[in-house]
Amino acid sequence: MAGRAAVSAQHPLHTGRAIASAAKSAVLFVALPLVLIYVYQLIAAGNSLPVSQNLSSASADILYIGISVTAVSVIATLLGNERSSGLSLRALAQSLAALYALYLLGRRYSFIVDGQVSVAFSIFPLAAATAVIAMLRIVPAVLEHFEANV
Amino acid sequence: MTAARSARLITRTALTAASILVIIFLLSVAVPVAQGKLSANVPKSGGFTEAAGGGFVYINGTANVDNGGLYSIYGLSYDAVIIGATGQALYNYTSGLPAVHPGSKSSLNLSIPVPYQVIYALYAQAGPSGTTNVTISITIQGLYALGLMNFSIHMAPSVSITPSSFAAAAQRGR
Repeated sequence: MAGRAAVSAQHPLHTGRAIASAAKSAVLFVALPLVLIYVYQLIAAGNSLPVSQNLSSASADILYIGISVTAVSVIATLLGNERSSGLSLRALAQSLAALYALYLLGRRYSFIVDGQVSVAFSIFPLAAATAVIAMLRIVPAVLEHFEANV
Repeated sequence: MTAARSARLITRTALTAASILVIIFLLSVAVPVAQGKLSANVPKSGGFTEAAGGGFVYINGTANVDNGGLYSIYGLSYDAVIIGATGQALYNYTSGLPAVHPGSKSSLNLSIPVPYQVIYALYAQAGPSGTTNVTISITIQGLYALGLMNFSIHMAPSVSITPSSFAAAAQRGR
């Protein structure tokens, strides 16, 4: 017990920060994309703008992946930056967020402009480049881990 | 400063710089699009004309593209499928289109050369008036933002064709 208490004092769990992280991740990765989709569809319906044919399935993906990213991000913050495990998990959360963006942005979205014309687009190459940059953030985490353990 | 710390700092700086570049790039794509500076008017039903010549009946339409963005629209091509009144695909045609450079407006000519054999097939579908409606399923594909964004525009206008009006030209073309 004494040993465990000593470890806890040395590496305190960051509960407050974790709650803040949960709120931030939930807003960024779940609420904001869903609200943006909802607002756009409302504006589109009222202003004869193109309405997307596949935003509802994207919403389901947002819920699923966004909640996963939020969970990993919260655990990372809970463990704290000073622990290499926490730092690595934070990098993993960022990688997951990058994959999330890659998946969402890489989809081909199609819009019906009017009865005769539809427009579809995909920014997969751009999403892939962004995802690679985000995933490379694991490199500083590994280097810090290496630095701390040598 | 240890070598590992230097490497970590360099990596972080490079990643931050790359992230800033990506954000600037995204804004340079999204802002003109949101401002409506990129637009395309594609031909709809009634927007096509037909003309015979050289063994084909050419179905012609024009797509007007206004590129007020910062990047070229390039790699443009279109696929056209002629669908008869019975719903059967009669003919496929693919062709390239010129690039639309930033700050320019272009009229892209969508010309579909339909062989007379297809026109003969339409004879059978023509009613007592001698006219038949065909649907032209056209998909225009292209790239934007240095090729990092690809898009397609699909339309399926209906065109009224009177096959007999091309009979004389078909006889000459045989």
